[in-house]
Amino acid sequence: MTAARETIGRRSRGSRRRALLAGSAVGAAALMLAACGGGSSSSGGATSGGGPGTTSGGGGGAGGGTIATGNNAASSGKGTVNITWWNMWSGAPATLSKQMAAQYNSSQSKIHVTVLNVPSADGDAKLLSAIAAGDPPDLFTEWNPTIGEDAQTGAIQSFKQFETGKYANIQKWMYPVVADGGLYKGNLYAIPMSMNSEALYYNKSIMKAAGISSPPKTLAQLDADQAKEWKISGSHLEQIGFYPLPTSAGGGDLQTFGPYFGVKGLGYEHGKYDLTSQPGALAEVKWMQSFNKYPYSSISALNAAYGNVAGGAEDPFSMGKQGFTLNGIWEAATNIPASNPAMKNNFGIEPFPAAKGGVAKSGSYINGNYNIIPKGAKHGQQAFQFIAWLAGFDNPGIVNYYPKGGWMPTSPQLAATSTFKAWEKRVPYVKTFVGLMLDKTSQAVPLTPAESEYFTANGVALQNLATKKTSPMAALSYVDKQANAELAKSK
Amino acid sequence: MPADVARQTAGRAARRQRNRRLRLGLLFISPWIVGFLVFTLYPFLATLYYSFTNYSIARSPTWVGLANYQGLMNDHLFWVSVWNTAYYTVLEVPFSTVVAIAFAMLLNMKVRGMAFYRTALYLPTVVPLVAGSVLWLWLFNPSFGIVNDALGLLHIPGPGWMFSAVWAKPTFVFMGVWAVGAPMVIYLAALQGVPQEMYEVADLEGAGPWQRTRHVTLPMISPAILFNVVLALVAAAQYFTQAFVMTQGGPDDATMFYSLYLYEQAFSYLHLGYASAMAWILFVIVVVITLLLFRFSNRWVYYANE
Amino acid sequence: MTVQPIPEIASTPIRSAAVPLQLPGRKKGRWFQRLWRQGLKHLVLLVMALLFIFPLFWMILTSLKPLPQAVTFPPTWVPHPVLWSNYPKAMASQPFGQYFYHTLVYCVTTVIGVLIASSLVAYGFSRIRWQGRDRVFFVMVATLLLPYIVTLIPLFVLYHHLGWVGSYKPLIVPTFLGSSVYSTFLLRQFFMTIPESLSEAARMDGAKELYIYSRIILPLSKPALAVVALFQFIYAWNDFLGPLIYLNKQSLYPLSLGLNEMLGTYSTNWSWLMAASTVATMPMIILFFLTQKTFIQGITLTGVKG
Repeated sequence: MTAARETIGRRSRGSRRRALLAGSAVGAAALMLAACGGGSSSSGGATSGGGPGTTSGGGGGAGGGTIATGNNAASSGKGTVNITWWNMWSGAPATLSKQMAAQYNSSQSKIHVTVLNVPSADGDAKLLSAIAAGDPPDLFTEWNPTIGEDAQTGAIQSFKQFETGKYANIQKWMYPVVADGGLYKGNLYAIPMSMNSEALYYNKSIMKAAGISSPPKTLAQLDADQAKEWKISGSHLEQIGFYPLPTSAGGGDLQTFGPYFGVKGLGYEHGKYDLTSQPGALAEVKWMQSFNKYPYSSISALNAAYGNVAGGAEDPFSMGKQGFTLNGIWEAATNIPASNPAMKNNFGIEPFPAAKGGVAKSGSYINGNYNIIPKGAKHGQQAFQFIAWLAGFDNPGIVNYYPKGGWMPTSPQLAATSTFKAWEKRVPYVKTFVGLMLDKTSQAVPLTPAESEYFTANGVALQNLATKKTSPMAALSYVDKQANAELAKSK
Repeated sequence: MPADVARQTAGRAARRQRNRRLRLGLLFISPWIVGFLVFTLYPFLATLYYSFTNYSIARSPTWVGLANYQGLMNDHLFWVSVWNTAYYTVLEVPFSTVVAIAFAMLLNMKVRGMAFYRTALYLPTVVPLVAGSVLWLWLFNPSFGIVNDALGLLHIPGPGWMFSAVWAKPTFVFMGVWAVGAPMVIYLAALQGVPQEMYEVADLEGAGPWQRTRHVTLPMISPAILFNVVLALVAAAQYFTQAFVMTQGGPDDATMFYSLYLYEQAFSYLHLGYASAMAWILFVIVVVITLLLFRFSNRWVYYANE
Repeated sequence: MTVQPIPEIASTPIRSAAVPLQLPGRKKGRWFQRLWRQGLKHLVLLVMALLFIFPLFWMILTSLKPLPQAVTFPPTWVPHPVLWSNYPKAMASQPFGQYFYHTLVYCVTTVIGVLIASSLVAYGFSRIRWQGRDRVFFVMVATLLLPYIVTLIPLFVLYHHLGWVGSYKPLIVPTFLGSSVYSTFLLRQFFMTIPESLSEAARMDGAKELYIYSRIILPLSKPALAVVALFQFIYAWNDFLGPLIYLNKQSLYPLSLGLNEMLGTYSTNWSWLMAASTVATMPMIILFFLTQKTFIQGITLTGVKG
């Protein structure tokens, strides 16, 4: 008992000593924290190579006591402007983005780019916080359907002021459908750096096993062929034929298939969403409805099983469990080699058959990763120059990144370069994808402040269609109603 | 008169004592007061202000009065999210409380190797969210997950879990069992503090195990119960990360929780004013419930020093 | 200290035959009964432990598989071959040393902040009787009730004006100002269970309040402090959103963000992700295993009351 009391005494004495230590540690810590500026002082510009071992802001504070702003540190070196680029890539494309920035930095000395890869889940929240604080990055690669409302609310800058001198004709330099994806109320607000068009992928061995000799050339043929490829035993889904409806693990949308049914403006025309009045839209939804005979939750489960939800992008097709799919070139160029090399020689690509009988092919839905300049960016001019460089303007070398990134060019001039032609020759399906960029029926989703809502409403309506909870017309009018309500809010 | 003087002196002394205690109390909580004034009060008041405005983040807020609140009342999805969160809260809070206490009592027994068991039950709490959500998706996958496979062995048809509009919320509640590690540890620490004499008295009076629990254990750990219930309530009311990462509000809006809808309004649609109004509605509701919990806590919470 | 009998027990009629008969020759039976009861306890605990360890087990299993096996369905149980090389490769794919360093600094500093500030504030809310104390306490708890999503932007703007954006300051400094309401609330509950008589006696002996705080209350609260420290450490270790919002340099990223980087935009190496996650989780598991003893030992001191 006395031993215990002694121990207590010793402990509390020890605790006083510890308290003192803690107190001084606190004081020291506070001092240290206060001294080490914002941790982002411009010690010669952080390496954009993304390698390990970059010293943390702790000791290297060139601006010791100054209050360092988050991003746009003053220039280091004579006349070099430092700009920051945030994008939401991770993994392989993140590395590519860093390589591009490094290449740009070493090719000239007027502008120095620092890349930050931001987690995609909250990337927009981070960007908006920075804009609110008046200290955003100089450019941001946006792939969420928010550009329209960003432009409407003034969160991003119009490029009009930068389209001068050699950049005066940059819009004409792009594919028309590419420029469309960045125009809001007649002004350019975003220029893409990587594009995507979509084509039909087919699994050769599954096709063979189902007794199909060649890939379908019409939509009706696709419907018939894919029906033979489903393998369902009870509630166990073994193999999917084709499934255009979105599952809760992601999937198709109205805009994805809109071009094949001749849907104009992907639903947006004359200042409002009016899918219900387009016969093409109705035909499209009726066609999608015909697939609700397949088990929705099993398909969701299969898609989710391949990590479709938690950020990964393996999908049933790349894992050899699906006969047909509509996808961009990245599936072939990056997904399959990375996740299932065994599939490499087991797939083929064809233009997706159009709905109208007799028409062999049609343009596709076009989307991409668009670079924007946030409001309050300190070096808009330089950011624009870099954005143009990333898009390939005056920079044919950008094509070297396309095979690794699985990207399509932004301009026909890039498609005409020898590098690109060499890629086309090496990999036959490239031609299919790039041809779609030129097709007059290819469409990008028009930028409106209601784009986000349109996408969300899309997902909900089509999911309901898949679970037999709604009818085609009701689905379309739901999307119209939601999107137009959102439009009204932002006027 | 001496009696009056005495009373006045006593009164003054008592007041001095009270003031002294007030000063001491405020001194001790002064770090929190500073932090509250600087880092909490300002954002709070700012969001209250935003709730009466249209605020799209890039532009200054414009006053719209009660328009956001009115809009919410007519917003179908708002009511769906209220229902979802209420449903989840009513399931989750009692369920996790009972489970946490039961587990803590299990871990309080004198069994060899208890350190291993305690660590095992706490384990899922430390698994990072990135790995955790993928794991749950795999485990609970209706077609390929282990859970349904195991159920199949028992000839029970496994439900659609996160892909079924009916089962999605209960799935999240079950997943919550794995996260019961933190409250469990607190209950364990509280259980350890129950004096042995209490149980001895109970045994002498002939109390059975259930009566021991009800009349000794639970009252003695009631401060911890109040703590965990309040926090479970707060967490359930603001639940959204897992739904954000795993189901994005689906299927069929079954997992569109209040905070998820709030997040979308704020950052996907740039309606920060609308989102702030949502936040304040939630705030008021949860404050009222918590107030009631505290108000009635003196009926069932037993602090040894009172 | 006399233990106050709890009324309900006193009114319960005494039950007979609650204890097994102590007849000679029944010794073997009693020993068997004890073995059976012990065995049952172990069985229940083992089953629960296995269920709870399962996710971690699955994580490790996946980390040892070659990638195609990691994503096949139905899942394979045994990696074939066992790729230990996944670990060094996963660790080399990102600057994990850097990530660990930042995470460690973040964790340690915030634990210090929380231990000091939250204990002081909790003391003020529990061990001193002052006017309005419980009302102010409720206000503190109420600050938990507003979803962070809406306070994110005004708070961010505030930190920006202070020049703290781009560093860990917004995450660390507030903990020294009692920002962890969770810890303060928890400690307050525990402090409330220490008899007032201890403080009174010390006060009558002329002890200053700070002395009572550091020499009497804190030593008696070691288990609660251990819990608070452990929880804060784990919270900071896995904190994802805070670093995401406030850090602008990849070289400052902590473990949580680093792990997230492994979720590639186009495809993820699940085996590597699980390997890295396992490595990131191990320290937490070990930490818990080592500290959970503190919840047990030392609590018997509270039995020495009055």
